[in-house]
Amino acid sequence: MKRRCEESVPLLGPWMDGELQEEDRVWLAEHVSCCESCAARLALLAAQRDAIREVVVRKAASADLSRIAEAVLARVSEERAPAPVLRLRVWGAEMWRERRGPLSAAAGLAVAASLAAIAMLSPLQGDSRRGPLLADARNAAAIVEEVDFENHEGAVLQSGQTTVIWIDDDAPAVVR
Amino acid sequence: MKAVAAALALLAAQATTDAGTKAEASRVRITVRAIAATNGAEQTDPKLAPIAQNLAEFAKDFRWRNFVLLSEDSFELAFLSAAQVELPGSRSVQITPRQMAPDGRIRVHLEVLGEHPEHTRKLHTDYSIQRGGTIFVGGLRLDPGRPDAGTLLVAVTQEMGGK
Repeated sequence: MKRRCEESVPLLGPWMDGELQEEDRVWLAEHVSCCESCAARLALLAAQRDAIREVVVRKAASADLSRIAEAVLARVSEERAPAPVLRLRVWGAEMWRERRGPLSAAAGLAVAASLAAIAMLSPLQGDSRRGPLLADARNAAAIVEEVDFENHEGAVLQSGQTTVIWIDDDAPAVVR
Repeated sequence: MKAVAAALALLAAQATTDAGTKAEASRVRITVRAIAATNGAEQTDPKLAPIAQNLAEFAKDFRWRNFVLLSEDSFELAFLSAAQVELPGSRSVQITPRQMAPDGRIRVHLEVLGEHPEHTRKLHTDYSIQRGGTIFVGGLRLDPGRPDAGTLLVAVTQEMGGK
């Protein structure tokens, strides 16, 4: 894969979604117009997107929504709270009247703990189409702006905050 | 009159300070460490303590766990002046600080040159790095004649200070 292609491939999806900035869009359009393999990749992505869209539209069209209101009401009546639940609700209301202060403090703490747990346990909320390299590179001490491995294979990797430029000394690339 | 003299003295002192700051900003301190990274027992040379954190992060993704310092060179470089460091196996790395970015990062040009006799360029790169940061260049054979000997890891550290 040529270097320009390596740079262009991660941008194809965002380009199709209209998420690229003007500068990148112009650069990519120019590259795709003169690169057969990237044009083929773009066509494949577009075909996949169209196929998925077609499936979703077909499923939505075939869904029968005419009786949805009755179905929801029937479900609600099935799940109507039984007597013990009603008793619990009354007990809860009485407790709330008597011990509003401590209960409010406890509820606040519980909400804060839940939010902290969600923040710690949920995956990173970045753009999932970005590779880990780009996601992490934003915090890296070193940012590689350009690299040319001459006639070797190589890669730029991100290990935590440490940037590693890796050249494959054993396997020179095919000279293009 | 005394007030004018005091003001002039203050301005002169300010100018001297500014000149000193500019001189300090015009030079950067770079340390280049050549490291043997091998499959030996998990161990890091104590002399590599300043970059132990970087090596620990490196070891998470790569199979080498044994790190021994082969050479260490430090340079005070003016912008656009290059330093060349000889590496084992008659290879070398050349480093040129190019400019300071508006965010305080240093933009650096780095080249790795191959063995005798051609010394062909194996890679060249431009990167920006914050003071105190370290970047690794790896993958070169530790011993060009022995592919299984391990890898040569070149750690380039942008030191905090400068003159």
